[in-house]
Amino acid sequence: MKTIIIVILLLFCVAGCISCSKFLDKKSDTSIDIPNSLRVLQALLDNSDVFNISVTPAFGEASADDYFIEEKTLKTMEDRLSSVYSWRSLPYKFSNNWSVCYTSVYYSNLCLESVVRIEKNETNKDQWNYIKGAALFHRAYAFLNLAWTFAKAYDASSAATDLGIDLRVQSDFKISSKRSSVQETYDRIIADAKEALGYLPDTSNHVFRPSKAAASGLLARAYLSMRNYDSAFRYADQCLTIKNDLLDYNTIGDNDNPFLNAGYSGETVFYTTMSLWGRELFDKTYKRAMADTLLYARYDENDLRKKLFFNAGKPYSEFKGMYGVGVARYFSGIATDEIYLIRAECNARLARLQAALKDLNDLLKKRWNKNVPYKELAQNDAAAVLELILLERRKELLMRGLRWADIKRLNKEGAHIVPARFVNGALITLPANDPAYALPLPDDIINLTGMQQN
Amino acid sequence: MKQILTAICVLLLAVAGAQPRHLLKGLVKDSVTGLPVAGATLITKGNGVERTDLKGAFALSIADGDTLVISHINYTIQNVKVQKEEAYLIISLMPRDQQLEEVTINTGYQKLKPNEVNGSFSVITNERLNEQKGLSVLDRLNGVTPGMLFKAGKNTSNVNNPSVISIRGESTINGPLDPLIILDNFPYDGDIRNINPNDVESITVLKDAAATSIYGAKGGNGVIVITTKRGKFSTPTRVDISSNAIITERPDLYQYRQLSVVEYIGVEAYLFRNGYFNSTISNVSKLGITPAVEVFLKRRNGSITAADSAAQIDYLKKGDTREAYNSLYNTGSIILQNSVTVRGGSSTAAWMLGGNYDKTALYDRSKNNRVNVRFNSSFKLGKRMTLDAGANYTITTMFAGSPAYNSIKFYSNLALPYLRFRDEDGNPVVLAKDRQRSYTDTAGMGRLLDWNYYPATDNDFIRDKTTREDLIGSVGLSVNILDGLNLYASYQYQQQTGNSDKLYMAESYYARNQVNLFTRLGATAAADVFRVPRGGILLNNYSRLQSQNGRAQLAYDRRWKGAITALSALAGMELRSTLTSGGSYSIYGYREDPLSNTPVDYYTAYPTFITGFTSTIPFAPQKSGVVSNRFVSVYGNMAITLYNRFFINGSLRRDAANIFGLQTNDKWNPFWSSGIGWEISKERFFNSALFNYVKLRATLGTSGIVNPNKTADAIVYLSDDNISRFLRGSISTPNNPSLRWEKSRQLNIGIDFGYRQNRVTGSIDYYNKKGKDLYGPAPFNYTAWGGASTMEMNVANMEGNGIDASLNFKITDGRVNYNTGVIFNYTLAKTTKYFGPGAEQVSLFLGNGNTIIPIVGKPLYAIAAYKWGGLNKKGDPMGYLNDTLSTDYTAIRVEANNKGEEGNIRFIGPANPVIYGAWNHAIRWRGLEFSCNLVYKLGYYFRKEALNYQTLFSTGLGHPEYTNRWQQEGDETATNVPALVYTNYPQFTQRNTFYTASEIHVFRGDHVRLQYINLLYRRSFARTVIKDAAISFNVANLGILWRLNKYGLDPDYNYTNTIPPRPQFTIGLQAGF
Repeated sequence: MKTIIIVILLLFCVAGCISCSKFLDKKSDTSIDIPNSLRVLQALLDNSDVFNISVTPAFGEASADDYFIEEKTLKTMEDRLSSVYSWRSLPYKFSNNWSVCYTSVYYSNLCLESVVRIEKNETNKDQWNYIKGAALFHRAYAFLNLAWTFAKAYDASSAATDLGIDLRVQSDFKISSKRSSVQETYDRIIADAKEALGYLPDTSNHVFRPSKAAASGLLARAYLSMRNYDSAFRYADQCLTIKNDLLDYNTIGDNDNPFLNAGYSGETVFYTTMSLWGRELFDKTYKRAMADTLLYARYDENDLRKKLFFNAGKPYSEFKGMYGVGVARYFSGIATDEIYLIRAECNARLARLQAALKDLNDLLKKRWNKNVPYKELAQNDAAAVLELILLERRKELLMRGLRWADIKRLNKEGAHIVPARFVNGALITLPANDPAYALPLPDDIINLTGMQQN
Repeated sequence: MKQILTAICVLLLAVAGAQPRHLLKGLVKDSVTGLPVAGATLITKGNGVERTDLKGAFALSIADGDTLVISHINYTIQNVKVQKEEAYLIISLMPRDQQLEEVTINTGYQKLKPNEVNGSFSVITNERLNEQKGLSVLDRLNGVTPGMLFKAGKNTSNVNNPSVISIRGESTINGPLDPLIILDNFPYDGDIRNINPNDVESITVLKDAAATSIYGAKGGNGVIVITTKRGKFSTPTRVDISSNAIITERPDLYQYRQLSVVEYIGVEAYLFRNGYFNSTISNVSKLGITPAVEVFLKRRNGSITAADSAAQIDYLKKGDTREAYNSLYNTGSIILQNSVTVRGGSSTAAWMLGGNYDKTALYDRSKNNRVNVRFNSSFKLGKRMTLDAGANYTITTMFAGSPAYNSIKFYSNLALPYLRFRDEDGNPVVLAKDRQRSYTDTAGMGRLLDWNYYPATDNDFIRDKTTREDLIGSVGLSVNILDGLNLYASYQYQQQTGNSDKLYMAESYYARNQVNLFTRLGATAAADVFRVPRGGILLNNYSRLQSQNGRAQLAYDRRWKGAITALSALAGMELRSTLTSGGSYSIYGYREDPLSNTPVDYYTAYPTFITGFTSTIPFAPQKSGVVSNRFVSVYGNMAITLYNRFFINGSLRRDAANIFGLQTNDKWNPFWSSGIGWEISKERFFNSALFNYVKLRATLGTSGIVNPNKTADAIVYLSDDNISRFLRGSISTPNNPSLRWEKSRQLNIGIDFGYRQNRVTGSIDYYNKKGKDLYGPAPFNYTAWGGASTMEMNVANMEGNGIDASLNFKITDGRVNYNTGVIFNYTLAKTTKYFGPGAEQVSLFLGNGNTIIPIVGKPLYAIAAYKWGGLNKKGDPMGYLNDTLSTDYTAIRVEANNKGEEGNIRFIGPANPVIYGAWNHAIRWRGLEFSCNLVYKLGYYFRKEALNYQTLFSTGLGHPEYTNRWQQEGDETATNVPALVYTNYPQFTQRNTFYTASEIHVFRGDHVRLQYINLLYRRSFARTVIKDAAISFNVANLGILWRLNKYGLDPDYNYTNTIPPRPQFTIGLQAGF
């Protein structure tokens, strides 16, 4: 009897040890996983809070000249906000445009590191390619947005020494931060976006997901910022070859949110909206911002944008024409109207005036009241055509997160755009090509990393 | 029944036997004090009942060989067989509480004799527990357990310390702080409120590392071992019933610190003039505006005259939110607790069957019923085997009550002091808390449902019912293999299910609001579309917790005469698995009788009525992920006693868990402990007439915590993207493979003693805790991952020292017994190292001292404050900048950060009591017993609430010191309360934080509280069906007796929206059959 019991005991112990490791292999939560499968990587890239909604910097837009804040309103605002308005931002900390952009950079890097560890084969190659392409696209998209905000405008003569952004291409957080040059920054964006083109399908099944059209649009934006109009034309054209739909504004009903349902379809190629930091200054919800009066005055009465983009008010009007959906609806993504305008501008700068005017007319026809005959724009003077296009670019793409980069770029072309604002009874201005166009990095990041502040 | 039969038999025998009788005289005395015991009852089989006189003497007639049963309420019953012709007998009775020292220490793994344990522990008996009333067994440990601190009222938002209990201070900075709870040998996973205090036989609290290391990673914060009542072999059947009624008056809402109505409306007028409400008024969501602002707005728009406006404001000034809420409440709370247990045992079987029924009706009209049935039994199977089986089932049903004070808020933010729920005629009034009436009155051209909120009646249309069921079943088999060698295998299954149904009836505001929001008006009323169907809305939440525990343990116990007096060793293995799952669903268009509901489309985003922003219908059904935690542990423990007075012990344990993403080698975590003890009083040279027992002991042990984030891979949480409907993955912490375990080590040195035959007993323990590589948030370059600005890393070392002491005195003159005990604790833990920026930044303590902040050389919980420079001539608070007065609060903060104590702030001191304890008293005279307990907390500071204009503007919650605010030049000499300024005032936010964090609001927290008083009358009966009965009366929450702060503040209840509880009265009845 005793022997039997002891034997049973020993058996029990042995069996116990063997089954232990299996017992412990059970996954502790069915809703968690590690990034070792295409399914999980795809899920990471489909996180719209990281890549689409409330993600792009609004610091630039808050600093730009498409809106203004009345002095009496400005007086009621907190220092942290009014200091941004007067281009003298107080030191600021987490969370901010920087943290939001680099979140998507981290996700992209993690996916890029993980996807190469998974074997590509016949059955999974489409998804594998999509993940590789999408991660490259998202990283380049974030880098470009960061460069627009925190770096000086691209200038071939000084790009090698101008301070760019932290080009973080690995997920390991122990790698310290350093600022690359503007040249390196744009080179990386172009290289990543071009590589993404080779992996992405022409179109995607949701505007949250990148596609070849989106990557082309991104390249067109990047080359335009570099004032490389030849390449910008090529990729704008490639984008419009895939998708060239334009919304007919005659089909849009006028109310407080006219484009409420247009954001996920219509002209959108890739959907993103601006993040909260900085948006508080101009977001309609806070009732602070008014549309720039000179800009508003440029819309024709039969231009449907005048009604659909603005709540007319006395003495000032308010912008309402964002393409986004929901609360964080300040659209900053890539849409065909922008690409039409890029192609038109490039054509104009490359002296292909008729092609330029065609794109402009194609776009404006869709914005014109159909009950009034549209008069085609015609012009033979290259400078005049360019001026027309740049005016329409401003009228079409206001509050889209593009104006700050445009001011910087166009001033490099000698446009002499000087934003001016009334603060505390005085008119303050930001001279063209001022170093302050590279907006300050977060204070805590500077303290922790020792990177150079702008 | 059995007893009655026995009694009849005995009686018959007595008559039939007619044995020779003789007179017996004697004396009954206390075995400890030697004093005579008066009023002891003596029962013989044949004869009647006798009692001892005042001198403890007795005389009775007795038959030869008869057994004399001596009993007294304060002593254990004793049986004496009377020898033939014995004429004089001295009988020593053992005092009842003397028994307490005989209790065994249940570590959950083995039962030990107190003198054989080298570690630090406290045993709380059932009687001690019953001196306090209330539903939670843990609350009853307050004031009676050395080393244990209850942070009552302390901000309970610390997720690491939901129980607010700490044993011997902290041993981690960022890890869990709650002690481990063991119920009948296994960790208890359910809600602690499911354990009925009446079922508890005793509680052992294990405090030092030697005692807790056997629990491995989870035991680092101390262990509370709860043992429930069970049957005993060879005891007669006994029935116990008990019943308690606990009565409390409803909270005194007038204790809340707030502005008077007139002042508050004045503030609103001020804000309105400055345009504070403009964005709310014009908000696209038509946000609700407060009644006063509504009047101001009408006046501004010119729709009412100045006279009308003044009249309406005057009317509002007569409102009182406290009265309004009181009209929703009952005058008090009543809790009824009833329990019955039946216990008994034959020579081969022991059993216990019990039931409880608790009924709670709280002042806020919430109701709570708890029914519990439990059973346990032991069977001897042959000579070598014992089988235990038990089951415990509890079902609790809870109905939520009226809204809590100040929970009805305007646009979810603003609580007002002048609300009315009914008008003068008693009719329910409309409160436009979410939307402006001007909008809701006209929206939808009458084709929407009534969009008004009626606070007086709305709760009648909400039924919020939660049901919780808890089932525990266990079996255990003990086999005696060889002499001294025992195998014990046991298994326990626990399942707890929760189900919550929140029904918003069709008439409720919530249901009407949802219907309206999702209504789309058509061209005609017939074409209107209701995406959320008209009717009720039922929201359901369900959860399930299953845990399984298995243990196999081999124990060897042997005693000898000689050098090795005793050897006890055990080795075992445990498996543990818990599984949590749950989910939720909603039903729209719900009607209960006749049952009906309407399916809705959760997928499509519809434009909502007011703004046109699209939204999906909320509460789509979902199931949460299944969380499965598994643990394997192996452990061993050995104790040797040498020469009957040296005690040496050691234990070893390794734990492993299925922490996801961890390498297998990292899953195993070792713990060890060792201890020595020396019972000096058994030495020959120890020749003290005074001390009857002295033991010295020392232990050393380790524990550690492994962080689940220490993973080689990033952990991805999967869910459903609510817009694209793709599977979405998110990462909440980046992978950090360099994280190490937290390690902690505790040394304990103690002495136990008994003086003059245990008339005074006590123990003193000194401990030292050292923690290394503790986790803490370290600032982190979020360029690498933008999800947070800090990350958990091994950043800190800490060291804590403390003393636990308890002293118990027994004083008696034979009739009156007075027992008193003092508990004294000293504990102070400091950060010794902190790697990372901010390590010396004392300015981080400028908060309330509610969270652990590691600053080198400072206590873990502490308070610092700005030096105060008074108000200036504009009513602005002044601090110091470079030793001169300043109102540049941003610069003041910068100096505070940079210079710390050298600059403009002052380190005040610890925010948790450094010295704490209790002083309890019990006086017993015959069956009457009076006991009371004083609890003290000393040597710490707290920050009093102060007026913050930002908080006042955004939440409506102010501070009555507003009355004394600076109003005109000259006031600065008389007051410290800053002037009312608007949000655009320079550094408005910083001005508020400076003022609230200044030294004038910090006070000493030292106080003494009367924890409870308890009056009990107990009586035994000799010949009735009832064997004994008791009635008790208890008052708790009696408040503070002494405090160091001069303002009458209760440091335990000085947080926003907390007020001291009302006294609690309990009447209890108990009877045994």
